[in-house]
Amino acid sequence: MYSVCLRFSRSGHEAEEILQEGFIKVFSALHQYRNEGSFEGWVRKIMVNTALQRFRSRAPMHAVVSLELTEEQPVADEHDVVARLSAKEMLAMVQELPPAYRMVFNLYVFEGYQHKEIASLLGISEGTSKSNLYDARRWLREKILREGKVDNLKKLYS
Amino acid sequence: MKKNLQDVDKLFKDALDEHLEPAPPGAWDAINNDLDKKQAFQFKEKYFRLKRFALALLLFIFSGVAYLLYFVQPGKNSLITQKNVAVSKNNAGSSADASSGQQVVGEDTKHGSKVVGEDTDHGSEETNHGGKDTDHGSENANHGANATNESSVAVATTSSQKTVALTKKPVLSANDREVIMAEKTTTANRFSHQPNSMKPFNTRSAKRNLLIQNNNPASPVAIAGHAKNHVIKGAARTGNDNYLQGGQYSNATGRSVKGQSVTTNDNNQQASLLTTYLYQPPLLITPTEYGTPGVVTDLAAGFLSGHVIKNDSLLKAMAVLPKKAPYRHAVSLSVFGSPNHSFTRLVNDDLLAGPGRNKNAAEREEHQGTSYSAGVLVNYGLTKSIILQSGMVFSSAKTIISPKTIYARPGNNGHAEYEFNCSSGYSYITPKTGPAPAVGDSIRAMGSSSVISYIGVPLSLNYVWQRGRFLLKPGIGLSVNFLTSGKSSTRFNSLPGNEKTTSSIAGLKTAYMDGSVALGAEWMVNRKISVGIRPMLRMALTTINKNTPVKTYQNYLSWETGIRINL
Repeated sequence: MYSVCLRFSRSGHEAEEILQEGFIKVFSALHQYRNEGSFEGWVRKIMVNTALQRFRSRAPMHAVVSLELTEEQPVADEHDVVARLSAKEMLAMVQELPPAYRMVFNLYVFEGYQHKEIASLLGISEGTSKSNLYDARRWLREKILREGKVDNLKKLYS
Repeated sequence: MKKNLQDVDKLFKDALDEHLEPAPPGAWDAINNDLDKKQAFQFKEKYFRLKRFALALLLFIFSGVAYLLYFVQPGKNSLITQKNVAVSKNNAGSSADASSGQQVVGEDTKHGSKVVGEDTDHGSEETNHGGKDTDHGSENANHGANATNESSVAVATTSSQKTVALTKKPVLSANDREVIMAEKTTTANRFSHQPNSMKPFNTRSAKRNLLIQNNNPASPVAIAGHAKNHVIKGAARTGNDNYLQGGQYSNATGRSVKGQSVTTNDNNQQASLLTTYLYQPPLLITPTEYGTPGVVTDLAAGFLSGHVIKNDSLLKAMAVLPKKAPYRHAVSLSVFGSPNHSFTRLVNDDLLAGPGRNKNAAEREEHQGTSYSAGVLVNYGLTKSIILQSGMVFSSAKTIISPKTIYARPGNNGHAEYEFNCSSGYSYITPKTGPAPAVGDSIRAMGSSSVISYIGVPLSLNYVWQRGRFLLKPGIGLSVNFLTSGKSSTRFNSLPGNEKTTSSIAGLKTAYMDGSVALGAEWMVNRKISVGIRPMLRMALTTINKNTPVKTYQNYLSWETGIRINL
């Protein structure tokens, strides 16, 4: 659950707060669990909803972040770059995403929500949700490529 | 590029889905501490809520009791004669001799006194000198603040006799004198047109005077009577009602009766004292119109000596009864039917809502079907224009659900069943034909619908605005609705014979509350029956379901059409 919280937060400290708040909800609403599906799934849903509530109460959802997109370059060894990235590094990339992008990306990719549902949950339009997802993907791809370049440079000068 | 971006999704999902990060060591301690605080806070909240509710309930009960004690009084609008007066032939027979006999009205017949109703305390004594018979004392009833405002009216019973009563005090007002004069000039004529059943007074009685002391200076009392030196005091009038009921009639005796008191079941439970000096046939004093000065009618002639007049006959004979306040204490019964436009307000449950199981999905898949209400309501007039209404109302609402794929999950009985979710709740369906589903199996549900029915107990306050036969009744109310049935029916096209399965909806609460605003319009067909229509908006105050992904508030816009019968 802590991993889920980490994905939805910017830092470990924030993730800890979401975890704490989420578990209090779990214990308070334990009687509502209907023994359907997995208990883990139920708890996970609560964690996600807690993160969403926290996000809704804190940040405006229409944060627009200008991406300094690098020119499209052929990535010859993209798979090598990816292979070299650890899960921790990828998690850090997700955490670095602007909050609006992070939320949409997490909900769409990891939680399986559709754009209409995301729009409803976050209080934005469906178009904004799609746009945020697109930008989040581009952001992450750029990050991966940058990581790859740095790695290549490191290799070159080592 | 697009492919690359989609690969980003997959890349991150594959990398992070199974990735586990250990929680920081202090996390569980923090959760423990927070949980304790939270529980303590919840208990505290619950306690305070209970306390507030108890306080509100106490206030409600107190105000209800206070209302019953001080505003709704027993015997309202009842006639004194109904309870406390008995006129018997035997007793009346004793008064056949108008000069000597005694007639009993009520219980106490000693010493020529007539006690009608309960006895009351008396204040200062007054002495009346009038006509032949003088020195007829009358006890002054003390009726609160009004006691100081007494006025007196003396009336000559026939124009041929100059028998204006003399009173020592209080002094007649100008209005009173006018009334007296009017009576002087009209009484003779009236008695010349007595119906056959009404015997005119004899000569002797015609010489006698009647004195009525009315506690309400604003309402001088005009009296037409043939009694001799009658002094009717009291009849305290407070509020709106029939202040003269207490003195509706007295009885005749053959001799002077001094200092009698009459207590009536007056609205204010004050003693309505009737102190009379009666020598002659009884007088009937009735207000001719609600809120206007009362008039002693000459129905008293019916009490001439030797006649037996029962209470009922007396009541029937009363020419003019005081009109009741239009709705106060009136009880009526309403029967209505209503087509409804039902609509819902959906709210996601923070803990249970998820993909495909949230308010957006419900709004997309469901639309409201037919809905209706019918009921019986009892109306009770609290005041002249405020009506309390309660009764029983049956409501039913149907929801049509679009075709959707449903999945098999472990059901309540442990076996895999298809779970059918709708905004009202969820139900487990096992097709009668076809193979038993395994967990994870899916099936296409076609033509599904859910029907939920409630019996509601409303309590509403309505204001009545009347213009002729037309009534307008705006009102507000609360209603507790008890679930009578909640069923969902689902048809499966993929199964042989388009199988249709009905099952109970789980997750529905046994009761919910709603508030209502209504504007009724009625047409009084006659005094008994009214017909009307009442548009009503019923908004749910609590959800109809619990432990479901979507919380549902069931609302109605209904058009109640019905009939009201005055009881």
